[in-house]
Amino acid sequence: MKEKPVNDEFQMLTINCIDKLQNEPLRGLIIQKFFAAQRAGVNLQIEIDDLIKISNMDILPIVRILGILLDNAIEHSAEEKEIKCAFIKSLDLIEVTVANRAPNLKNIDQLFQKGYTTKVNHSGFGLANVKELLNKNKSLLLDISFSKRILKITLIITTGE
Amino acid sequence: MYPVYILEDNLEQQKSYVTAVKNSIMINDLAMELICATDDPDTLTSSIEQEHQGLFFLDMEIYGVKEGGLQTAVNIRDKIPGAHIVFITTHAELSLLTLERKVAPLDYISKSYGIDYIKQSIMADMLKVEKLLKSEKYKKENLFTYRIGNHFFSVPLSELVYLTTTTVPNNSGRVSIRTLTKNTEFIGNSNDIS
Repeated sequence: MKEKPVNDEFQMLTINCIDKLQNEPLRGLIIQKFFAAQRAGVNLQIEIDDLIKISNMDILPIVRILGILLDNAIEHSAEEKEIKCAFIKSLDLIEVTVANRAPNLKNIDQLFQKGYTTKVNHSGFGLANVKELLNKNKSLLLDISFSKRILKITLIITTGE
Repeated sequence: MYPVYILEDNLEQQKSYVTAVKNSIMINDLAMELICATDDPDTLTSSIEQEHQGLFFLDMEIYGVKEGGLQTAVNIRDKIPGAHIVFITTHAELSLLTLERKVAPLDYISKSYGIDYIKQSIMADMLKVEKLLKSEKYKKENLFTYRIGNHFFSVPLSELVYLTTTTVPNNSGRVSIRTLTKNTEFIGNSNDIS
Protein backbone atom coordinates (compact mmCIF):
# COMPACT_ATOMS: atom_id res chain seq x y z
CA MET A 1 0.00 0.00 0.00
CA LYS A 2 1.11 3.53 -0.67
CA GLU A 3 2.59 5.76 1.97
CA LYS A 4 -0.09 7.60 3.94
CA PRO A 5 -0.53 11.18 2.81
CA VAL A 6 -0.32 13.44 5.79
CA ASN A 7 1.19 16.76 4.97
CA ASP A 8 0.46 17.72 1.42
CA GLU A 9 -3.18 18.57 1.83
CA PHE A 10 -3.06 20.04 5.27
CA GLN A 11 -0.45 22.67 4.72
CA MET A 12 -3.05 25.29 3.88
CA LEU A 13 -4.14 25.23 7.43
CA THR A 14 -2.01 27.44 9.60
CA ILE A 15 -3.30 30.35 11.54
CA ASN A 16 -6.37 31.56 9.65
CA CYS A 17 -8.70 30.28 12.36
CA ILE A 18 -7.19 32.60 14.97
CA ASP A 19 -10.22 34.91 15.00
CA LYS A 20 -12.21 32.21 16.72
CA LEU A 21 -9.99 32.62 19.72
CA GLN A 22 -11.84 35.39 21.51
CA ASN A 23 -9.43 36.43 24.14
CA GLU A 24 -6.97 39.23 23.41
CA PRO A 25 -3.97 38.22 25.52
CA LEU A 26 -4.19 34.60 24.42
CA ARG A 27 -4.55 35.52 20.76
CA GLY A 28 -1.56 37.80 21.12
CA LEU A 29 0.46 34.96 22.60
CA ILE A 30 -0.47 32.52 19.85
CA ILE A 31 0.35 35.00 17.09
CA GLN A 32 3.64 35.83 18.72
CA LYS A 33 4.56 32.15 19.07
CA PHE A 34 3.42 31.49 15.53
CA PHE A 35 5.99 33.95 14.23
CA ALA A 36 8.61 32.80 16.70
CA ALA A 37 8.10 29.29 15.34
CA GLN A 38 8.37 30.54 11.79
CA ARG A 39 11.66 32.26 12.58
CA ALA A 40 12.91 28.97 13.96
CA GLY A 41 11.79 27.25 10.77
CA VAL A 42 9.00 25.36 12.53
CA ASN A 43 5.49 25.05 11.19
CA LEU A 44 3.07 25.76 14.01
CA GLN A 45 -0.40 24.65 13.00
CA ILE A 46 -3.28 26.11 14.92
CA GLU A 47 -6.62 24.30 14.98
CA ILE A 48 -9.67 26.10 16.33
CA ASP A 49 -13.10 24.83 15.29
CA ASP A 50 -15.35 26.40 17.91
CA LEU A 51 -15.48 29.90 19.34
CA ILE A 52 -13.20 29.95 22.36
CA LYS A 53 -14.12 32.43 25.06
CA ILE A 54 -12.13 32.76 28.23
CA SER A 55 -12.63 35.58 30.69
CA ASN A 56 -9.64 37.86 31.24
CA MET A 57 -9.83 37.23 34.98
CA ASP A 58 -8.38 33.74 34.60
CA ILE A 59 -6.11 34.32 31.66
CA LEU A 60 -2.74 35.04 33.26
CA PRO A 61 -1.78 31.51 34.34
CA ILE A 62 -3.20 30.12 31.08
CA VAL A 63 -1.05 32.45 29.00
CA ARG A 64 2.01 31.62 31.06
CA ILE A 65 1.47 27.87 30.84
CA LEU A 66 0.77 27.87 27.11
CA GLY A 67 3.75 30.14 26.56
CA ILE A 68 6.00 27.61 28.27
CA LEU A 69 4.45 24.65 26.45
CA LEU A 70 4.79 26.30 23.05
CA ASP A 71 8.34 27.48 23.74
CA ASN A 72 9.30 23.96 24.70
CA ALA A 73 7.65 22.54 21.62
CA ILE A 74 9.33 25.07 19.34
CA GLU A 75 12.76 24.38 20.78
CA HIS A 76 12.12 20.67 20.83
CA SER A 77 10.99 20.41 17.25
CA ALA A 78 14.21 21.75 15.87
CA GLU A 79 14.51 18.56 13.86
CA GLU A 80 10.91 17.67 13.18
CA LYS A 81 9.73 21.16 12.31
CA GLU A 82 6.12 20.61 13.04
CA ILE A 83 3.91 21.48 16.00
CA LYS A 84 0.18 21.29 16.29
CA CYS A 85 -1.84 23.30 18.72
CA ALA A 86 -5.58 22.78 19.01
CA PHE A 87 -8.24 24.61 20.99
CA ILE A 88 -11.22 22.39 21.63
CA LYS A 89 -14.40 23.35 23.41
CA SER A 90 -16.75 20.71 24.72
CA LEU A 91 -19.56 21.38 27.20
CA ASP A 92 -17.99 23.10 30.18
CA LEU A 93 -14.37 22.40 29.26
CA ILE A 94 -11.83 24.06 27.04
CA GLU A 95 -8.91 21.88 26.08
CA VAL A 96 -5.73 23.21 24.58
CA THR A 97 -3.45 20.55 23.16
CA VAL A 98 0.13 21.07 22.08
CA ALA A 99 1.56 18.15 20.14
CA ASN A 100 5.02 17.51 18.79
CA ARG A 101 7.38 14.63 18.15
CA ALA A 102 9.77 13.92 20.97
CA PRO A 103 12.23 11.32 19.69
CA ASN A 104 14.59 11.66 22.66
CA LEU A 105 12.11 11.48 25.47
CA LYS A 106 12.07 8.23 27.43
CA ASN A 107 9.06 8.68 29.68
CA ILE A 108 6.68 11.27 31.02
CA ASP A 109 8.13 11.47 34.51
CA GLN A 110 11.33 12.83 33.05
CA LEU A 111 9.51 15.96 31.94
CA PHE A 112 8.65 17.37 35.31
CA GLN A 113 11.83 16.78 37.21
CA LYS A 114 13.34 20.07 38.24
CA GLY A 115 16.46 20.63 36.23
CA TYR A 116 15.64 18.04 33.60
CA THR A 117 16.33 19.36 30.16
CA THR A 118 17.29 18.13 26.75
CA LYS A 119 18.54 21.56 25.86
CA VAL A 120 22.10 22.73 26.02
CA ASN A 121 22.66 25.78 28.26
CA HIS A 122 19.21 25.56 29.69
CA SER A 123 18.05 25.10 33.24
CA GLY A 124 14.93 23.10 32.39
CA PHE A 125 12.63 24.74 34.89
CA GLY A 126 9.83 25.41 32.43
CA LEU A 127 7.62 22.47 33.10
CA ALA A 128 8.28 22.54 36.80
CA ASN A 129 6.93 26.09 36.68
CA VAL A 130 3.86 24.82 34.88
CA LYS A 131 3.24 22.40 37.71
CA GLU A 132 3.48 25.22 40.22
CA LEU A 133 1.01 27.35 38.28
CA LEU A 134 -1.38 24.40 38.10
CA ASN A 135 -1.19 23.86 41.83
CA LYS A 136 -2.42 27.41 42.41
CA ASN A 137 -5.40 27.08 40.09
CA LYS A 138 -8.06 24.53 40.71
CA SER A 139 -9.69 25.20 37.36
CA LEU A 140 -6.59 24.10 35.43
CA LEU A 141 -5.61 20.49 34.85
CA LEU A 142 -2.89 18.92 32.78
CA ASP A 143 -3.11 15.78 30.69
CA ILE A 144 0.09 14.45 29.19
CA SER A 145 0.26 11.54 26.84
CA PHE A 146 3.26 10.07 25.11
CA SER A 147 2.90 7.31 22.61
CA LYS A 148 4.36 6.53 19.20
CA ARG A 149 7.05 9.13 19.93
CA ILE A 150 4.46 11.88 19.94
CA LEU A 151 4.15 14.04 23.01
CA LYS A 152 0.77 15.62 23.59
CA ILE A 153 0.29 18.01 26.44
CA THR A 154 -3.27 19.15 27.02
CA LEU A 155 -4.27 21.97 29.32
CA ILE A 156 -7.82 21.38 30.49
CA ILE A 157 -9.62 24.53 31.57
CA THR A 158 -12.83 24.03 33.51
CA THR A 159 -14.98 27.06 32.86
CA GLY A 160 -17.56 26.15 35.48
CA GLU A 161 -20.53 27.22 33.38
CA MET B 1 -23.27 -9.56 12.30
CA TYR B 2 -21.13 -6.51 12.83
CA PRO B 3 -22.80 -3.52 11.15
CA VAL B 4 -21.03 -1.34 8.57
CA TYR B 5 -22.23 2.11 7.49
CA ILE B 6 -21.28 4.49 4.67
CA LEU B 7 -21.91 8.23 4.43
CA GLU B 8 -20.95 9.83 1.10
CA ASP B 9 -22.72 12.56 -0.86
CA ASN B 10 -21.15 11.69 -4.22
CA LEU B 11 -23.38 8.82 -5.33
CA GLU B 12 -20.90 7.41 -7.81
CA GLN B 13 -18.21 7.21 -5.14
CA GLN B 14 -20.74 5.87 -2.68
CA LYS B 15 -21.47 3.04 -5.07
CA SER B 16 -17.83 2.05 -5.35
CA TYR B 17 -17.42 2.06 -1.55
CA VAL B 18 -20.44 -0.22 -1.33
CA THR B 19 -18.81 -2.57 -3.81
CA ALA B 20 -15.55 -2.47 -1.89
CA VAL B 21 -17.27 -3.25 1.40
CA LYS B 22 -19.37 -6.07 -0.05
CA ASN B 23 -16.41 -7.61 -1.85
CA SER B 24 -14.30 -7.44 1.25
CA ILE B 25 -16.99 -9.20 3.30
CA MET B 26 -17.23 -11.92 0.69
CA ILE B 27 -13.55 -12.42 -0.05
CA ASN B 28 -12.42 -12.38 3.56
CA ASP B 29 -15.51 -14.12 4.87
CA LEU B 30 -16.10 -11.41 7.48
CA ALA B 31 -18.92 -11.53 9.99
CA MET B 32 -20.03 -8.08 8.89
CA GLU B 33 -23.01 -6.63 7.15
CA LEU B 34 -23.53 -3.38 5.25
CA ILE B 35 -26.55 -1.82 6.94
CA CYS B 36 -26.76 1.57 5.38
CA ALA B 37 -25.15 3.59 2.57
CA THR B 38 -26.56 7.09 2.41
CA ASP B 39 -25.86 10.69 1.54
CA ASP B 40 -27.85 12.02 4.46
CA PRO B 41 -26.33 12.32 7.97
CA ASP B 42 -29.78 12.18 9.60
CA THR B 43 -30.66 8.92 7.88
CA LEU B 44 -27.40 7.46 9.11
CA THR B 45 -27.89 8.72 12.64
CA SER B 46 -31.42 7.33 12.86
CA SER B 47 -30.31 3.96 11.49
CA ILE B 48 -28.02 3.43 14.48
CA GLU B 49 -30.77 3.99 17.08
CA GLN B 50 -30.67 0.42 18.39
CA GLU B 51 -26.98 -0.24 17.88
CA HIS B 52 -24.09 -0.38 20.29
CA GLN B 53 -21.34 -1.16 17.79
CA GLY B 54 -20.42 -0.49 14.21
CA LEU B 55 -17.83 0.46 11.59
CA PHE B 56 -18.43 3.81 9.87
CA PHE B 57 -16.93 5.15 6.66
CA LEU B 58 -17.69 8.86 6.59
CA ASP B 59 -17.06 11.53 4.01
CA MET B 60 -16.02 14.73 5.75
CA GLU B 61 -17.79 17.26 3.59
CA ILE B 62 -21.46 16.54 2.99
CA TYR B 63 -23.18 18.73 0.38
CA GLY B 64 -20.99 21.71 1.01
CA VAL B 65 -21.16 21.51 4.78
CA LYS B 66 -17.48 21.22 5.52
CA GLU B 67 -17.87 19.54 8.86
CA GLY B 68 -21.01 17.54 8.18
CA GLY B 69 -19.11 14.30 8.50
CA LEU B 70 -17.29 15.42 11.62
CA GLN B 71 -20.53 16.39 13.34
CA THR B 72 -22.00 13.02 12.39
CA ALA B 73 -18.91 11.34 13.82
CA VAL B 74 -19.30 13.20 17.10
CA ASN B 75 -22.95 12.08 17.25
CA ILE B 76 -21.98 8.49 16.52
CA ARG B 77 -19.32 8.58 19.21
CA ASP B 78 -21.91 9.89 21.67
CA LYS B 79 -24.30 7.07 20.91
CA ILE B 80 -21.77 4.30 20.36
CA PRO B 81 -18.64 4.90 22.42
CA GLY B 82 -16.95 1.82 20.94
CA ALA B 83 -17.67 2.63 17.28
CA HIS B 84 -14.88 2.40 14.73
CA ILE B 85 -14.87 5.52 12.56
CA VAL B 86 -12.95 6.05 9.32
CA PHE B 87 -12.89 9.37 7.47
CA ILE B 88 -12.70 9.46 3.70
CA THR B 89 -11.79 12.99 2.79
CA THR B 90 -10.45 15.62 0.43
CA HIS B 91 -10.93 18.16 3.16
CA ALA B 92 -8.00 20.53 2.97
CA GLU B 93 -8.71 22.19 6.27
CA LEU B 94 -9.02 19.02 8.23
CA SER B 95 -8.05 19.70 11.81
CA LEU B 96 -6.28 16.56 12.80
CA LEU B 97 -5.67 17.12 16.48
CA THR B 98 -9.21 18.29 17.02
CA LEU B 99 -10.46 15.22 15.26
CA GLU B 100 -8.34 12.87 17.28
CA ARG B 101 -9.48 14.39 20.51
CA LYS B 102 -13.17 14.56 19.62
CA VAL B 103 -13.64 11.44 17.58
CA ALA B 104 -10.53 9.26 17.87
CA PRO B 105 -10.95 7.83 14.35
CA LEU B 106 -9.57 4.47 13.33
CA ASP B 107 -8.15 5.83 10.07
CA TYR B 108 -8.21 8.63 7.49
CA ILE B 109 -8.41 7.76 3.82
CA SER B 110 -7.38 10.50 1.41
CA LYS B 111 -9.36 10.86 -1.78
CA SER B 112 -6.44 12.44 -3.59
CA TYR B 113 -4.90 9.05 -4.45
CA GLY B 114 -7.86 7.87 -6.49
CA ILE B 115 -10.54 5.26 -6.15
CA ASP B 116 -8.30 2.19 -6.11
CA TYR B 117 -6.42 3.51 -3.14
CA ILE B 118 -9.70 4.19 -1.35
CA LYS B 119 -10.97 0.68 -2.05
CA GLN B 120 -7.74 -0.88 -0.82
CA SER B 121 -7.85 1.21 2.32
CA ILE B 122 -11.48 0.31 3.00
CA MET B 123 -10.61 -3.36 2.82
CA ALA B 124 -7.56 -2.91 5.03
CA ASP B 125 -9.65 -1.10 7.64
CA MET B 126 -12.29 -3.81 7.64
CA LEU B 127 -9.63 -6.42 8.30
CA LYS B 128 -8.23 -4.25 11.06
CA VAL B 129 -11.65 -4.07 12.73
CA GLU B 130 -12.16 -7.81 12.36
CA LYS B 131 -8.87 -8.36 14.15
CA LEU B 132 -9.83 -5.95 16.93
CA LEU B 133 -13.16 -7.72 17.39
CA LYS B 134 -11.47 -11.06 17.76
CA SER B 135 -9.09 -9.79 20.42
CA GLU B 136 -11.92 -8.03 22.29
CA LYS B 137 -13.88 -11.24 22.51
CA TYR B 138 -11.25 -12.77 24.71
CA LYS B 139 -10.76 -9.86 27.02
CA LYS B 140 -13.44 -7.39 27.93
CA GLU B 141 -11.77 -4.17 28.90
CA ASN B 142 -12.42 -2.74 32.35
CA LEU B 143 -12.26 1.03 32.57
CA PHE B 144 -11.29 3.44 35.28
CA THR B 145 -13.65 6.39 34.91
CA TYR B 146 -13.29 9.88 36.34
CA ARG B 147 -15.03 13.18 35.92
CA ILE B 148 -13.88 16.70 35.10
CA GLY B 149 -16.73 19.19 35.16
CA ASN B 150 -19.57 17.48 33.36
CA HIS B 151 -17.23 15.32 31.32
CA PHE B 152 -16.46 11.68 31.86
CA PHE B 153 -13.04 10.38 30.95
CA SER B 154 -11.76 6.85 31.17
CA VAL B 155 -8.56 4.87 30.98
CA PRO B 156 -8.28 1.10 30.56
CA LEU B 157 -7.74 -0.47 33.97
CA SER B 158 -5.08 -2.72 32.50
CA GLU B 159 -2.96 0.35 31.68
CA LEU B 160 -3.38 2.06 35.01
CA VAL B 161 -0.14 2.17 36.97
CA TYR B 162 -0.90 4.26 40.03
CA LEU B 163 -2.96 7.11 41.49
CA THR B 164 -1.55 9.84 43.69
CA THR B 165 -3.04 12.77 45.53
CA THR B 166 -1.25 16.07 45.88
CA THR B 167 -0.60 17.71 49.19
CA VAL B 168 -0.35 21.31 48.12
CA PRO B 169 -1.85 23.69 50.69
CA ASN B 170 -5.06 25.47 49.62
CA ASN B 171 -5.49 23.08 46.76
CA SER B 172 -6.80 19.91 48.26
CA GLY B 173 -8.18 17.19 46.12
CA ARG B 174 -6.09 16.93 42.99
CA VAL B 175 -5.72 13.29 41.98
CA SER B 176 -3.03 12.32 39.49
CA ILE B 177 -3.46 9.28 37.31
CA ARG B 178 -0.46 7.55 35.84
CA THR B 179 -1.02 5.05 33.07
CA LEU B 180 1.44 3.36 30.73
CA THR B 181 1.30 6.24 28.25
CA LYS B 182 -0.38 9.04 30.10
CA ASN B 183 -0.24 11.29 33.09
CA THR B 184 -3.42 13.13 33.79
CA GLU B 185 -5.34 14.53 36.74
CA PHE B 186 -8.72 15.47 38.06
CA ILE B 187 -10.24 17.24 41.04
CA GLY B 188 -11.39 14.78 43.65
CA ASN B 189 -10.07 12.84 46.60
CA SER B 190 -9.08 9.31 47.33
CA ASN B 191 -12.15 8.65 49.49
CA ASP B 192 -14.41 9.01 46.47
CA ILE B 193 -12.53 6.50 44.40
CA SER B 194 -13.81 3.00 44.64
